[in-house]
Amino acid sequence: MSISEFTPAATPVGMAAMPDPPAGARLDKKRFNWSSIPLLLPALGLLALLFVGPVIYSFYLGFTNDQLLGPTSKHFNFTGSANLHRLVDDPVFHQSLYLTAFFVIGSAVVGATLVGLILAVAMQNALGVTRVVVGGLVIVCFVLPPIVVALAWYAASTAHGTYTGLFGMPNADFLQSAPLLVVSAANAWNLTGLAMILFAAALRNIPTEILESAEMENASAAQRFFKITLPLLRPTLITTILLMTLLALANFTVVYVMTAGGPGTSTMILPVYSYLQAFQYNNLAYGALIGDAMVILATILSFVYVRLSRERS
Amino acid sequence: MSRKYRGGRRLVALTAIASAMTLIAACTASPSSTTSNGKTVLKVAYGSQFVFLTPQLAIKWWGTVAHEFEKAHPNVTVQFVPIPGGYPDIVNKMSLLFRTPSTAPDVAELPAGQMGEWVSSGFLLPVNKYLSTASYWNQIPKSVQNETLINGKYYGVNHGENTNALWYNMPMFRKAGLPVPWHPKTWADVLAAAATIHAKLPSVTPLWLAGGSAGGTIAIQYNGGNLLAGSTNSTIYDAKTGKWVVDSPGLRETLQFYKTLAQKHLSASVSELLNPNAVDGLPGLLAKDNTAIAVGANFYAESWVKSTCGPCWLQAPKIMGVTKLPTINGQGAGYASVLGGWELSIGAQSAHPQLAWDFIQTAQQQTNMIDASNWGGWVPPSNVANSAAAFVNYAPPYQKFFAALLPASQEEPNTSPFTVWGTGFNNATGAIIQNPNISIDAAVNVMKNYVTTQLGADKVETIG
Amino acid sequence: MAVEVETRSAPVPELPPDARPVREPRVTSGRLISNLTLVAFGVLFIAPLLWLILGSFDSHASQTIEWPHFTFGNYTGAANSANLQALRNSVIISLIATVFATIPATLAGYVFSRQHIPFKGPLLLGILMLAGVPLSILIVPIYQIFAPRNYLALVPAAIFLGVTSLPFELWIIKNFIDAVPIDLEESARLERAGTLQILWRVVVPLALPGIGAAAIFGFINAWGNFLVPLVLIANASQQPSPVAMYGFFGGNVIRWGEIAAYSIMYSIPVLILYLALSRLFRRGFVLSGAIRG
Repeated sequence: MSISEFTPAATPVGMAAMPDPPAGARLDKKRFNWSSIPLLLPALGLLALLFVGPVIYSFYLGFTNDQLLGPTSKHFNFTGSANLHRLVDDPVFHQSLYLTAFFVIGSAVVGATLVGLILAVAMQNALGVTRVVVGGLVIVCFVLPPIVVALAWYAASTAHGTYTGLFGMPNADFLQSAPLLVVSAANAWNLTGLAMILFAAALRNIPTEILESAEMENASAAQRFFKITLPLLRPTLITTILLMTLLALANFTVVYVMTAGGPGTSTMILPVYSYLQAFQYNNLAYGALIGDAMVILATILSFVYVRLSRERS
Repeated sequence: MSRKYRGGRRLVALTAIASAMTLIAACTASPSSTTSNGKTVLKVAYGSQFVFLTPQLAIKWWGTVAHEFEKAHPNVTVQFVPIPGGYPDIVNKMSLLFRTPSTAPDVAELPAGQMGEWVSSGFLLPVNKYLSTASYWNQIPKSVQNETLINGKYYGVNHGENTNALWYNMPMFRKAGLPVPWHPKTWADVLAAAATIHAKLPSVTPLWLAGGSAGGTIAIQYNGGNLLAGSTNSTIYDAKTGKWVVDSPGLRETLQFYKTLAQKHLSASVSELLNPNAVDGLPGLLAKDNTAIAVGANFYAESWVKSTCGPCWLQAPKIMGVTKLPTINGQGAGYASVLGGWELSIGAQSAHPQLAWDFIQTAQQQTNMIDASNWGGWVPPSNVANSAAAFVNYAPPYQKFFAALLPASQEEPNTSPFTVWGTGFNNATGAIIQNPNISIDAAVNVMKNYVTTQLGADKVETIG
Repeated sequence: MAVEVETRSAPVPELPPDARPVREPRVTSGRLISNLTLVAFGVLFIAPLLWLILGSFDSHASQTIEWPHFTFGNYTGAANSANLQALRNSVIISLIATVFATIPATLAGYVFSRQHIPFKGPLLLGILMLAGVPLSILIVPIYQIFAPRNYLALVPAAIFLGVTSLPFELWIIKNFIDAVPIDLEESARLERAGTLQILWRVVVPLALPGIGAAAIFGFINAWGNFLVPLVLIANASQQPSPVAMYGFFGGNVIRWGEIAAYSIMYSIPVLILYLALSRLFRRGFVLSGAIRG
């Protein structure tokens, strides 16, 4: 029985008013479901206890004069906006922002995401052998701990390394002459495996029938890719770009071990600068403030992402 | 209740179980208090991977000391807090340990480099009143004792020291017609020898002097810091004004030395010099027999012997000679060396300071002190220990030589801003190594700008 | 007419119902391009690894790449009992971290994707914001939380590592569940299935590739982490491999060969994990079939 049967036109004259709508929950409108709470509790609980609390404390620290070691390590004071003034006037911080932007866009957005996509797509059409070997190789690169990545890349990009040999300049030192480029490449090399996995999983989700029917209608491979696959991959693309960005920001160990922010300050990306200030110069508070700046940066990016994904739906 | 809530209840039950399990699992951490099984617990913190020449030697040495101590004090258990990682990790972890009262150690092995900071944090106990019972104390040269002297009080005793000099390859020198043994009197002599090597033996690295920021500020005491110490004005921190020196004749002379090396191709390649492991890799590098002269430290000698093998180079005494690094014009003591080392200190909050001191006494007992130095790559601070056969014959003929450098060796400033100053210095030397043609003014500005930005204009000064 | 019919040739054989059109040759060139692309990238990717591989067999390994003096000594030297213990610790830590990250992330990811809760937008934004927090600023506060409660041990540190991966994993999983058509769940709900049943029987199997990817991510994140175990684990015998790796950098002696060998040994468990889970990514499914059938 559908609602339409009770329209006035169908109601015989003189009949009583419309009967009540069917009892029970409406299935067409989303309502708050109490089962949400126990499902959310583990994640939100863990995050609140072990993540949010420390982050808030860290934000507070950024406005104090706390040191890791020194007169104001155990007994520190709130210093208001003093650190903030220092941050705004700090030329190294400004440089760090530019360097971070380049690093993130270069290694995360262009590097890891693009290469991951290319690899995932290529793997669909490749021989089993090539797929397993290259796929496994890329995964190994993702798997290696940051210190090993740094060492391997150091060996490869300095004189008599594999890259310098590959490009025919065995005595050149890529790391010293183009440090930001090399550490960005190292980071991309490290993260591509994850992007590849994400895209591979998403590509599996694309129903083969759509692609096959397009093929039957004589769509070329390029058309199939750009008109069908890519739009369907869009959510994964956005997620992956965002994830790679956040991971690049978080992966400071590789850069730190390779160059320690040098030569000079040419690879002093924000995470390295924050670590340097907090743990080398013992300025815990200032390092925390720089870290807070990173969090705000990440928030802005997340906001952009949420906007983008809302447009989609 | 309708069906849909049954699943919800199951969920709640599952979540509750999971949370309980977490809490139980999390509570299985080992307790740490000052008593255990009725015995007093003494917490001893030390660097487990970086400090001794190999981690195995560290375990061996500390184990021996703990064993002897526990035998003499049956009511006490030693609880070690080994700290893995490199030098900065040790400093960071120690800071964290001291910050939290429940984890603060009773005895700590601390680097001399930041002694001032440990003290100003209020983490360490002055040991003046215990020193009278330390038989070795008066055998330690004043320059070394001063490592732990802050505001009139001593905050620890010296555990082992590093000194620096010039290593040179004797067969190469003979081949190039240079005198062996070699006794340069000035920097000009050193540079001349390097130039001769470069002319006569072109395939060899004439003079190894690392720089740049990849090795960190800890590397300075093993390379450029020694030159600065031998310049006409070696002040890094002006105690009278409380300011850090970012421009001085001494700094300029040091940077000029780097520049001469780089411009005349008298040193190794850029890659090799700016390598983060340029300091630690030197024993291996010299063993490759491809370097004529190197500014370096005492620990290479102890690295090459059979018991350490880092790497094994048993023929080293026939190949590598050592000579003092001269001051720029032969002034002053005639030679320069930076002093660095490790100290044993007592935590300010320690519940058992006397026991902590007893432990330190055991560690400083002559055999243990000599073993520590042999296995840690140090010179024993006590004159009696460092002339004893067990030390001298461990890696002849170098041990005696480096021990003799102790009295006139200079310490670097031991407060936090030194890491900032050091970064600036490294940036300057790195800039020159990468770009030999930049002017000294430009290199000095690299340093000046960086340090001024970080420390503030009111904390820096120019001398001369 | 009848004569023509009788001289007609044998009847045309019937095509099987799922016959497909013959593939055009351009698929072959596509395959060629794909394989070549993979090989090209393979070469680029293996370059830094060459040092690792060659160095691990080199008795005189140094920091530059050179033809090795062949030996297995690095492997035997690296595989001492302390380092193997560290490998075991790494596995335990990573497993705990993955469990504590992936299970809550799956449950919460489902809620964020399918269910209606107040403040969903701000909560999501907040969680994503957490994903961008650098670990270095969390270390000191977490230490100060754990230390007085004697939590400086393997399990709490592993749980913390898992929690640091939670925001990322939640996003990955939520996104995958978003991409799963809701039809199946709705038909299950019409059959009066409880939420937990829907989650376990319908959603998780469909989102398994995404959950697998998230789990791999969480595992790797914990596997390679050096800072957290260094600071949060007090007992040397509970330290994992990245920390043990530093042992090869001893004070003044760097054993490159053993570092390379240990790095390779250290990569193997994760490779195995990936290979085991890669079936998830190879397992295709056709949704329309599931609904019709």
